[in-house]
Amino acid sequence: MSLRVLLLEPDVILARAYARALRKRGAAVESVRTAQAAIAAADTKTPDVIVVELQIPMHNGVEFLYECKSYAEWLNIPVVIHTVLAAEELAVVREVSEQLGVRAVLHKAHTSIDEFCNVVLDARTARPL
Amino acid sequence: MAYRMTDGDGSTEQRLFLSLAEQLHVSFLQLTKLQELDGTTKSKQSDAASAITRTAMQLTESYMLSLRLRSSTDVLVVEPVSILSVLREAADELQPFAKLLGVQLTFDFYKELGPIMTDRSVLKAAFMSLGQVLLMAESQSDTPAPVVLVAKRSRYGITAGLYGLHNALNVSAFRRARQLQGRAAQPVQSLLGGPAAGVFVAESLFETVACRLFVSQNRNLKGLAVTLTPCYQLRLV
Repeated sequence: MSLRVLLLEPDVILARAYARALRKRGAAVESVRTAQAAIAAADTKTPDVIVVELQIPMHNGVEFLYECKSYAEWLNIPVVIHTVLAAEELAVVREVSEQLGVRAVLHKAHTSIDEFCNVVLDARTARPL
Repeated sequence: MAYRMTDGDGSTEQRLFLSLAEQLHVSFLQLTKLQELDGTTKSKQSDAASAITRTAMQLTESYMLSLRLRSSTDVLVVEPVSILSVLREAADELQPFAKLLGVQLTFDFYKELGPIMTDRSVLKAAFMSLGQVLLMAESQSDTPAPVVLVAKRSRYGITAGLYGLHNALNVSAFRRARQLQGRAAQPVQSLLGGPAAGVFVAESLFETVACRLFVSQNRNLKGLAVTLTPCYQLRLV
């Protein structure tokens, strides 16, 4: 059974690229632009891994993760943060990463598509940060 | 265009930013030319890369223009301009980017709008910078709606701007955005997730032609617009 990935990525060009790369590696990807759509998608079909860009319109990715983790059935879903934000801007996120089930924090500018796919596909077995 | 920066015009930081923008412009230009060379093996990927690079190059050029105008190394070329033609030209150039994002560009023009005395290239650059942001904002919604270029008569002149369905722009959010610009990763969070630099570049350009960007509503759409003063004397000619 293929890995179900929920990809919350507001940039449509990047979303297409990452979704395509993950599908090539056998994952089933649901790509959404907004936090509301991500909640709705997770409600319809529980994902195995959630990939989140923190910089999203109307909300921020951390708020979305808190909301996600407030539901008991989604508590144990591993999260991969894949963001444009620089490392210095992520100190707060790192403090709560265990609580949010974060397995990896990737910076888009410094992570190749292959590296990104490897991390996402291994997220279920990775240890929390 | 060759020009000379004089000492004392603008801060050191401004000169540094201008220098950086010129350098980035060169890099984008190199990318565009490499893509043109690759033209025989045209693919969706290369078209997409080309649209992205041209958009980035256009934003950099607009930024450089605003800096040069503010530091008086460039002067405005004021002439009678048809706002409808400026908006159509801007839309034509934004079309590849809009197509890549899967967002339509449409028009809502009132007829018989008189000419305005302004700098055509500044207006066009400003509307294109604004257009990039509105297109990206619309593409970031779950069901993108068209971005509408509007030019209509209003109480104070001609209101021209770009509007979309999926944004939560309001006056206070925009006021806050001006304060957060350069300080927050998402200064206009109600519009899109990202720096939205095109809004601030557009605002800077509009200010050089004595216009102020404001939050506006057109039917059920929200957007950003300016009010331009028509030249009544030219209408009599």
